[in-house]
Amino acid sequence: MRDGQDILKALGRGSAGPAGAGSADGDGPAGAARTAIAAARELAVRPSELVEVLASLKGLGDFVLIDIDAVDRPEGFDVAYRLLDRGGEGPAGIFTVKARADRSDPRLPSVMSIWKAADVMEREVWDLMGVVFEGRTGLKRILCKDDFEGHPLRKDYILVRTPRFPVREELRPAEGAEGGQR
Amino acid sequence: MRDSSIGSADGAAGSVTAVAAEARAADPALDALQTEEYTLNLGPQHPSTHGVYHAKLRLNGESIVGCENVIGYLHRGMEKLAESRTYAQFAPYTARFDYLAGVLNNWGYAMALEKLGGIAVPERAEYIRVIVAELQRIASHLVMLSSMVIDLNAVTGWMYAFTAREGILDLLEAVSGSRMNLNYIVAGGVTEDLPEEFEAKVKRTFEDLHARLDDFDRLVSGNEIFLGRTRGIGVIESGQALEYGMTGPNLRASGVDLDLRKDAPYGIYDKLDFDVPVLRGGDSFDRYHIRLLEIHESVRLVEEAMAGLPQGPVRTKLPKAWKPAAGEVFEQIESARGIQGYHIVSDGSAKPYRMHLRSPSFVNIGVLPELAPGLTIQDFVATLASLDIVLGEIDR
Amino acid sequence: MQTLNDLFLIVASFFRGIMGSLGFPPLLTDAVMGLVSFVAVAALVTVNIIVILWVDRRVASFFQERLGPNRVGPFGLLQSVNDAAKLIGKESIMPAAADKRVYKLAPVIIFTVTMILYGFLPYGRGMSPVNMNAGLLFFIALSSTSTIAILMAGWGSNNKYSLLGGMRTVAQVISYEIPLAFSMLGVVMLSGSLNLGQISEAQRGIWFVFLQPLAFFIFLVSALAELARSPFDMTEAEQELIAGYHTEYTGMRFALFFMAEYANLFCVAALGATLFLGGWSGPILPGYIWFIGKTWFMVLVILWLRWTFPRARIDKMMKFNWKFLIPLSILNILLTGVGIKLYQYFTTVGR
Repeated sequence: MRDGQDILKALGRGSAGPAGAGSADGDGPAGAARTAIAAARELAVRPSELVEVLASLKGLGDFVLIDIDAVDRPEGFDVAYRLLDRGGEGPAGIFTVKARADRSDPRLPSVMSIWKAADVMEREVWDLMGVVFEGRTGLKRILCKDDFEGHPLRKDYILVRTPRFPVREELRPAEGAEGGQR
Repeated sequence: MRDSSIGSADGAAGSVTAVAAEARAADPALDALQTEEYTLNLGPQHPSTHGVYHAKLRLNGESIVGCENVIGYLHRGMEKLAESRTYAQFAPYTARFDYLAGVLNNWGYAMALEKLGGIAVPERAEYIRVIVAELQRIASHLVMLSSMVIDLNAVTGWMYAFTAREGILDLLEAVSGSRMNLNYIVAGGVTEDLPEEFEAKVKRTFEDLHARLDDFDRLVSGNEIFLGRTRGIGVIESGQALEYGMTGPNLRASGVDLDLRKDAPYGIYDKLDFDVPVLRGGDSFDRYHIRLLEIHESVRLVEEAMAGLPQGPVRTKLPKAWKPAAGEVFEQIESARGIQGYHIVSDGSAKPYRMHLRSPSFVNIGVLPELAPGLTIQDFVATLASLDIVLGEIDR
Repeated sequence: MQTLNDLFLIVASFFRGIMGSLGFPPLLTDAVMGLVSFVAVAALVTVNIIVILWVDRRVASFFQERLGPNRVGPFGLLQSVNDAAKLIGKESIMPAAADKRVYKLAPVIIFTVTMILYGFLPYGRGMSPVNMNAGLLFFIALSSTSTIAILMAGWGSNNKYSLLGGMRTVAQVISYEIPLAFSMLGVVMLSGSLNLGQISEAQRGIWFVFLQPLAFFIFLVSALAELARSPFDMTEAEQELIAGYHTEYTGMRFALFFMAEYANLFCVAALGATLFLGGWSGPILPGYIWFIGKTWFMVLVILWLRWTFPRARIDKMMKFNWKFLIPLSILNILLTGVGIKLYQYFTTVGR
């Protein structure tokens, strides 16, 4: 896992270059970035750098946003942005950019302005994990119903032990019985 | 619930709203005529939404001015379920994601587990995987072709393609005992070897398939009415498709040559000789036609794999409560609908810490709110059918 | 043979004779005979619906390489009876916010109109229940009123899908009446009469389909659009509008729509057979057998088209009508007029 700094330096901080410029040949700042990217398959960035890094990557061309995915870890939410790297020789591979959002107040900038595909993906992460994506409109639930409370995929989400609907007495689970989760 | 994200399109030049606005400006009597846009819910119960998909359409007469996807009616919490099942217990669940291409889901999951645990797959198993997966791809594409034509009311075409699919399902049943939702490709190989006489069965089925596809093609592809309903409808440009992260036949119909079987080969795809059809138009007809072409390519792949099938074991068996090392893996395959990816995080125990499915249909429908305005309801139905979505993998 | 041909006429005159000898005044005799014709027509309509239902389903299944209904009765012949019984037994649910009177009246109107139309058809020589001199005109005029019924159904259901179906129907049916009427004009010019019986009579030499092939084609296409049959069935497009104008109808009310559609199908096919295929003219067999046979031929062609083609898009269908069919039908009238004049010229010159 490499720090975002050197790749940003290689990309030329603040100047993304025209789309597709980097994929042609190996020289120039875009070429150096490409080599750096080919070497590392994964990159960890701070939330503040996220938009810049992804915009620069898009500027290189040949990157397609495949998935945005969050894992609920004790240290925070690890949100992974997976890009399919179509450029360069050799088979297309996945290049992952990871950002960590705080457990207590998970916020990340939205990349919807960079790739429109991020729209539905971010909504899913918000819905199921509760990570707020800032700087976008329409962040609402997509899989759960609109007035659902809680974020189901979090580790501390309690699955309901007693049924929500009326159930005959003899079918109720015993009090204190273990639910279905680990 | 009021929703500002639907919005009313201000009308690009030539659209219904623009023309209507011009007419109003020209004629005061028309301006006094009260019209209003209305909201129509297409789905979730609807004969042609391919499952419980709900589109909130804002309509001006029959033209769509705004579209919003509403999904989640089939959300079964599979990703959460995975956290309380062992890896082997969860394998049958994977087939229920994209239930029309069950075995392809199994393969993605199996590949992810193999990478996680560093498991080797016997070569015979790899060949069998290709055979069964391509048969499943043919069956899935046949469903898409049938459902697209029946959405346009060519009922006979639907029946022809579905009858062809029956032949393929018989093959899949001979291999695994199950017509849909095969739990055949597992981590370490395939559950059982191919049955006897399989090659002869495949040959007969393919002859029948070619005859029926020929009938279907002649009935539908050149039909003036069908062309009128699909040519130039729902055009997705290649740049737009890449923006929206579309993959699979939908992307290839828009001119982008991206197929993981060629660009990032897995299994033994790098040893097999096949073409990837790419069409330039990006309209609904191209999305229909490309699947017809892909069926022929899959037939070629199956025949090639059957010819080169080596002898050997078909499975590296894993213990039931297999505990892989802690780690994280993301493996992707070219499913019938696009790139399907499995992200599995293991914490060293017998159950996954996190299981996430990158679903191609989930990402593909993202394009609809931009694509729909300007289409009529009939065009929307045709476009939705051409996108070939499966709600099982959208909602998980 | 002549007896067999005039069978129904002989029976009718027999009844008249009985009533005359019983001393009925002529008005009463006519009234009773009218009632008898009504019963006969109603029976014909019902039997036809049942048979067409069965044929539609079996023919469809043979096209689609499957068997179709074959369990209920020999060859599934009682399937339609089964369906009718099922529909009668179902609860007629009416949406709470529906416009009650409009909603309830719509199926009644549409079925009634179709039944009335059967009265004008010439089943054989002298066998029209209603023998009107302007029969064809009245036929077309009356069949247009079913549009109102469909709009009533679409509006009264208080359902956006039904409304869309109703609006589409109005646009479609009104537009396609024009080429329908124009295509019939050629036949009227050739036979010199609007009376359906006389039109059949005029085809004893040669059927008009050979003299007016263009008109036949236009008639067929317009009739499909009028009937809202595939490929022009956007009014009840199952895959887009659930069930179009009859989405909110269940039970017997739905059955009325259903029956009206099939009854209308037979009726328009019969009209086509009368105008173009010679009606009851034909050698050897009695006239009514020919009539039924030709009508069934038209019905089968229409069913065949339904199961082959996908559905057109409504605006393209409209364009097709206004920009292609109507000019074509006007051209047909022009050609017919020129043809008649030339024919008269050459036949008089020949003398």
